This record gives sequence, C-alpha cells and structure tokens, in this order.
Amino acid sequence: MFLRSRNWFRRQSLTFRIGASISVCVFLGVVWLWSFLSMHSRPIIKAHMEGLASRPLQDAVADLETAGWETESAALTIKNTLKELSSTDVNMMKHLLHSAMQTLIHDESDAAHAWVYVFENEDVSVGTMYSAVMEEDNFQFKTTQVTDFYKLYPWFKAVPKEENVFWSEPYIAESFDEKAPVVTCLIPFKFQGSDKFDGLVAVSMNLEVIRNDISKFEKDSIGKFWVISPKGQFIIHPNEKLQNTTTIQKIAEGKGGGMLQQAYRDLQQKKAGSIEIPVSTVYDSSVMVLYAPVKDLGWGVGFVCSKKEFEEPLRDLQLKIVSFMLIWLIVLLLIINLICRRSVKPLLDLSKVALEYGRGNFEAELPENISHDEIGVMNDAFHRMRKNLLQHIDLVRKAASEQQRTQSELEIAQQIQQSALPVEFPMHGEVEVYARMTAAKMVGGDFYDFFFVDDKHLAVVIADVSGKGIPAALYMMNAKALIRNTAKTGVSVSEVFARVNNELCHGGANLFVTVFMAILNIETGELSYVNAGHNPPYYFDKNGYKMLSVKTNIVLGGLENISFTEERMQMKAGERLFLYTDGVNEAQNCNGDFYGNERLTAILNTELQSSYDVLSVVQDDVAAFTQGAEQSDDMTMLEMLYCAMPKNALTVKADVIYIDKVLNYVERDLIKHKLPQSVQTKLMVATEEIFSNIAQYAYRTHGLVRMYTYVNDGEYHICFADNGIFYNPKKRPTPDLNKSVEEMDIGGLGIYLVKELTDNIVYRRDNGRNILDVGVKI
Amino acid sequence: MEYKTEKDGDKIVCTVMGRIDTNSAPQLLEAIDFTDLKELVYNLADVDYVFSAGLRIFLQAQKVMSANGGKMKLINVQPSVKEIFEIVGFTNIMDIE
Repeated sequence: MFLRSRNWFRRQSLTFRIGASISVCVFLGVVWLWSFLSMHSRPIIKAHMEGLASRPLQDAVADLETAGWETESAALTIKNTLKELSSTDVNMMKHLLHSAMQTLIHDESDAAHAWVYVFENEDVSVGTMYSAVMEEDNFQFKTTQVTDFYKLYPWFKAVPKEENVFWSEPYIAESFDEKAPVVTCLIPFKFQGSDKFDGLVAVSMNLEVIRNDISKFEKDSIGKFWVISPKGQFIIHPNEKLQNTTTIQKIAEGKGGGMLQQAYRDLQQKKAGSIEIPVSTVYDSSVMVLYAPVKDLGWGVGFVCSKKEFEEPLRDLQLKIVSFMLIWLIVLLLIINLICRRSVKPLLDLSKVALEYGRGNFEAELPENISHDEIGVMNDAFHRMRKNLLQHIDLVRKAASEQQRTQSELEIAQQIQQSALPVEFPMHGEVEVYARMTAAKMVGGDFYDFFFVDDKHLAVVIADVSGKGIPAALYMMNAKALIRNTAKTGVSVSEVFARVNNELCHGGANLFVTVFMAILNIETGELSYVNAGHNPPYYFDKNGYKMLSVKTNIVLGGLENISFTEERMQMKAGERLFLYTDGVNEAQNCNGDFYGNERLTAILNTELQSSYDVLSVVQDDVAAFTQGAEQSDDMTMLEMLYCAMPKNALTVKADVIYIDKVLNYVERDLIKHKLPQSVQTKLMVATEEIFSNIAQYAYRTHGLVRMYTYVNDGEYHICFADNGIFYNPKKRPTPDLNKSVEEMDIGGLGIYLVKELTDNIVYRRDNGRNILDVGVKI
Repeated sequence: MEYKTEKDGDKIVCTVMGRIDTNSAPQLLEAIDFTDLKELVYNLADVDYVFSAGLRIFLQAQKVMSANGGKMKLINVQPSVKEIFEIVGFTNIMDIE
C-alpha cells in the first residue's frame, strides 16, 4: 500500500510533488505550533489564575474565620459568666444574653441569636431554654420549657463530655418567628461548684448574613465561592438550590468527581490546594477550583474560576497564528506553483522537441537558451545531440544509398544474365528442348544454352561458374559466348572445349566453369557429348530415368592445353537427356540436409510428363524439401527430348495467324493424294476447326502445334499434337440443330462439324501432350 | 478471302472469293451496313471452303436480318460447301441456292 502510494506520488508532476511536500511540512509545523502553545500556555494560565484567585479566597477565609471567632467569643463570654453563677437566675440569664447580643451587634457580628439551655436533671432532653433574638435593635427574650431537646435539635447527638467548642451543621432555626439558615456554636458549661455539665451555651450565626458577606468578595473577582460544612454540605453555593440540600460528595459522584473528592479530603485535613475540573456545575466550561480550609469552623471554601475567560484570548491568538500560517501556506503554494511552472516549462518544451526528434523531424526548433541553470545545460545538450544526430543520419543515409545502388546493380546484372539465356524452346519436329534457371539471391554463375549449329545439329549446354557475384556473372557471360561462337564453327564438342578452355585460361581470372555439352544430329539421333567437371546427366529410355555414366574431364578455365574425351551414343525416338546443376541435388533444407540424387532419381521416375512438366515437377519437389530455407545456389535444369518425327511433319506456333500455312500444308498433301473434292472439303474444314481451337484455347501464352498426315487402312489421317492444357473434343456435347434462327447457339458448332465430317476420331493424352488423330475414308 | 459489296437501294449483294476462315469471317459482317437493309445476298460462287467461323457469321447475319424484318440469301453455293450447311442444319433456317 505504501509502495503503491509512493509510486503514485512519483508519477505526479514536479509542481504537485513540491507543493504537496511543502504543504505537509507547513501543516505539521502548524500542528506543532498549536500543541506547543497549548502545552506551554497551560501552566502560565494556571499560575495567572491562581494569582488572581488566591486573594479573594484568602479574604473569604479570613472573613469566615472572623465570623466564627466572633460567634465563638460571644458564646465563650456567656459561658464564662455562667461559670461564676451558682444557680439559675432568669433575670441574670436575660441580662447576660442581652449584653452578649449587644456585644455581638455592636461588633457587627454575623451572629443571629443566642440561647442558653439548662438541663433539668441528668436527662439532658428536658430543661429550660433561655433565648434571645435581636430584631431591628429590639431585644426579645424568651423562656421555654423543653421536654425533648433532641427533637428540637436532632443534629445534637450527644452531651459533650468536655468543655469544647462545638459547631453544628447548618440547619434551619425554627425557634424564631422567622426561619433562618444558621450554624450554631455550642459550648457546654458548668455552674460554679458543679461537677457536671449543667447546660449549653449556643450562639447561632445567620448564614444569610455570611452569604452576603461572601458575595461581596465575588464582585470584581474572577470566580464564585462555595463553602462546605465539615460533613461536606454546601453552606454556600453559586447555585442557591444546592445550598443546604446537597453535599460535595454527591456532586463528586458526577463527571470529574475524582478531583472534587481530592479537594474534600484535603479540606478535611485542613489543607489548601487547587484542582481543575473539565465539567462544572457553576460554569459551562472547564474550571479551576482553589480551595482553603476555615480552620476553627472546620469548613472549606472553594473559589471556582472559569478557564474560558483565560483560555479564550489565548485560543484567539492561536487561531490567528494558525490562520495566518495557513494563508501564508496558500501564498507559498501559489509562489511555488509559479516558480515550478516557470522552471518546468522549458523542460516540457524540450520534451516536445525530443518527441519531434523521435518522429524524425529534426527541423523542430529548440527553445532559446537564456538561462544558465540545469535546464540550460540540458538545452545545450539537446543542441549538440541534434547536430550529432543529423551528421550521423546523413552518414547512414549515404551508406544506405550506396548499398541500395550496389544492390540494384546486382539486380540489373542478374536480369542481364537471365536475359542472356534463350527462352524460345525449339519444337523442331524432331527435338524439343526445355530449360529453366532459378537464380539464388546473389548473382550466380549458372547458365544453360541451346542453339542449332547448323540445320541438322542442335547443341545443348549446361554450366556452373565457380564463385558468385559480379565476377562470376561476367565470367559466365564470357564462357557462354565463347562456347556458342566456337561451337558454331562446326567443330566437335571436345574441340570446342579445348579452344574455350585455352581462351578462359588466358583471361587470368582465378575462376573456372564446369560444363556439360552435347550435340544432337536431329536426323540420325546421334549424340556426342563431353563432360568438363559437371554433374553427370540423366538419360531417359524405355527403362525410365538413369544417371548417365560419363567420363569426367577437367573443368574449363583450370589448366591450359588440355584435350577432352568426347563420347557418343544413339538416341531413339522418345528418349530424353536431362541436365542439371548442383543447385538441384545440393539444395539444402533448414536442417542442412541435401536434396541428393536419390530423391532426384525418384521424382524423375514417378512423374512421366512432358519435358516442360518434368522441370516443374523437380523444382516443386526441391521447394517442398527445402521448406522455405533460403536458396543458396542457382538451380538450373535442361531437358532435351528426341522425337524422330515423320519427314512430312509441320510444326507451327499455335496462333490463328498461321491458319493459312496449316491449310495450305493440308491442301497440298490432299492434292498430292488426289482425293475427291468432298473428302478435301471435309478434311479442310476439320483441320481449320481443330487448329483454330488449339490456337485459341490450348496455351495460356504461346506454344506450338505439330501435325502430320498419313494414309492407313483406306483412311486419310491428320494427327495434331500440342503441349497445352488437357482438352478432349470428343467429350463436347452435341448441339441441338432443330432450332429456329433466334434460338440457335453459335458455340459448339465447330466440334460438331468435325465429328460429322470425319469417320474416325482418336484422342489421347500422352506425356503431357494432347494428341488428336482424325481419319476420313477415301 | 476477298469480297466486294454492291449496294442497290435497300439491297446489298456481297460477292465472296476464297476460304471463309476464322481470321477473315468477321469481315463479312463488318462490311455490311444493316441500317434499313431489306435484302442481303451473299454470292458464294467462288468460295471453296466455309469453316465454322464462317457458319457463325452467316448465322449472326441471318439473326440480324430476321430481327429487322429483312431477308438474307446465299446464292451460287458449291455442292461441297452446301454439304457443310446441311450438316449443321442451316439449310432449314437459311435461303440457300
């Protein structure tokens, strides 16, 4: 997850990253400053509040102590007077109390009223009560018989055993006309000479008066007071409803009570202190409470101050600082953005230019380099890169065009080489020759050739020059021309080779050529041949194709003044000579295996087609074997078929322009045989039809038609042969001739005519040739 | 093959000489202006051979003339040539003398 977000961050723009980083830093700084201010301001506030609060607290405590002391003094005065009396004297008691009350009033004491309770006997619950109340400077005295003291003062649990001052819990005094909250200071006394306590002196302090006093201290101070009794009851509380009804322990049960209980414990142990309470019943904010004990009374005084008033200015300050910093952050971000954009813009411009360079457009203008910073350095580098790239590209371009020129020259050389090879294959009646050369990618040195030395002698040549490229091509052209020219002088094959060999040796090039050459007498079928270091050819007879056993001579162009062994053999009609170069039998597939003579022998013997077809079949088989492996050497093949045709045969190109030649040939022969006009017409019409049919449909491009006539068994025959596509005229449907002019179809009439006119039609497909023989009775 | 045409009003007489073969036959159609032609006569007196291409041409000419409501006639046809017309059944659909 972290890694992913880090990667995400790295993908963002530079501006964003710098802005974000600085924002985070500044934000953390603000948080730190906030915490720092908060932490360090707390003790300062506390000290400040304590300083401000301690004075009113001390004043309140002093006031309460004074009030207690005055009340207690009044009670002590009465007690000390009673101590000197021996009996109960009502007048004396009235006097005593009056003077005591006057003293209290005179001293502006908080005491409200006083009384003396004299026990009747041992039972303290029965006695006489003498009480005095000052009401608007009027002294009132009352004597009451008490039968159940505890019922009257239920808080008074037991008769004191010692002559100690005892302070009551606050209660509502009901012994007067006006009820008033009071606390009472009780002191037991003994009459003179008595050995037991005879009664109680009590002086009550009016809490209303005390509240008024205390509220005076609240004015101009920062807080409000509460006062608790020793048992924790609120004598004074800012919330008047809690006065005399609730104890501090009960409030301490609420939230933040722990601190309050702590304060109560401290007060019980007469200790002063301060606490902080988050939730207060006095203020709707957190407060600080300073507390101190009122020692004689056993009370505790608490001064509750709201922290809000102290913390608010500080919080305002904090807010102001933080707001200022945030505004400053925004300004900072804007400035960073501006700076980054200014810095990054040249980078973006550079990247655009780099893209253009990538597309090959070196015309793209680089930004003007005005700065000398890192981007300026990069800009300079781009300038240099562009210059170097342009130089480099120029070099590469020149090299490429040089290479292209060489390549196209090689291609032209190859074309010239190819065009030097004869493609018009003779179909001379007596002999057929087919050849093809498939050049490898490189210019090679293979060639074939065939030509008539004179009317009766046909020469066929196949050769392979050592090496490749332009030198081999030039050498090949030279060798081919030398062989052809020398052969045309009419000398024997061995003599041709001897002369050509010497010519080639004079050339001085370190090349040589392997050649097989044969010359056929087309009238007799006599074949003479010489093999100069070439692959032995194949020979086809009634037993199929077999490799011809020939004597091998040295290659041409290798050694001067050599004589060559010439061999002879007799060709019969239908026999063939198949020549090839090592590009055929040494063709390699992707595994490096050679095609080999076994495969060649096999394929030659499986397909008995016309010569032209044999070459295609062998080439297809080699291609299937090499399976797309690049052809490494030229592949050249030549086949010569000796036909030994009848002397009267006619061979013409399969073209309708030769139709007159064909018809004249037939007409002459018909006239020679002195055949009647009707037979002549039939054969002429049939001939015209068959020849024009072959001329129009047999060949895709061009080809030959061979025909001859003969008389056999009372029939005159004309035989047509062509190497065209398979076509059996006998299978053509017979047209319906019982139609009207409009319905009659023009097609199909010719073949119908031939069938009707002739008495005998024989069709056969032989060695890839269509042979059609028609006969008419004579 | 050679030929000559004589136009007489809405009648054309075309005199043909030699062999009517694949190469020459189409000329016998091209030479004729079929517009408003009512009668077309081919004089085959000097024709030695009519080959299938010639037969096709005569069939086309016959179709055009029939469509135009005209007549076509082959005259002076040699017996050996007429035999060819008979074989392909043209003697039924053409006027051959």
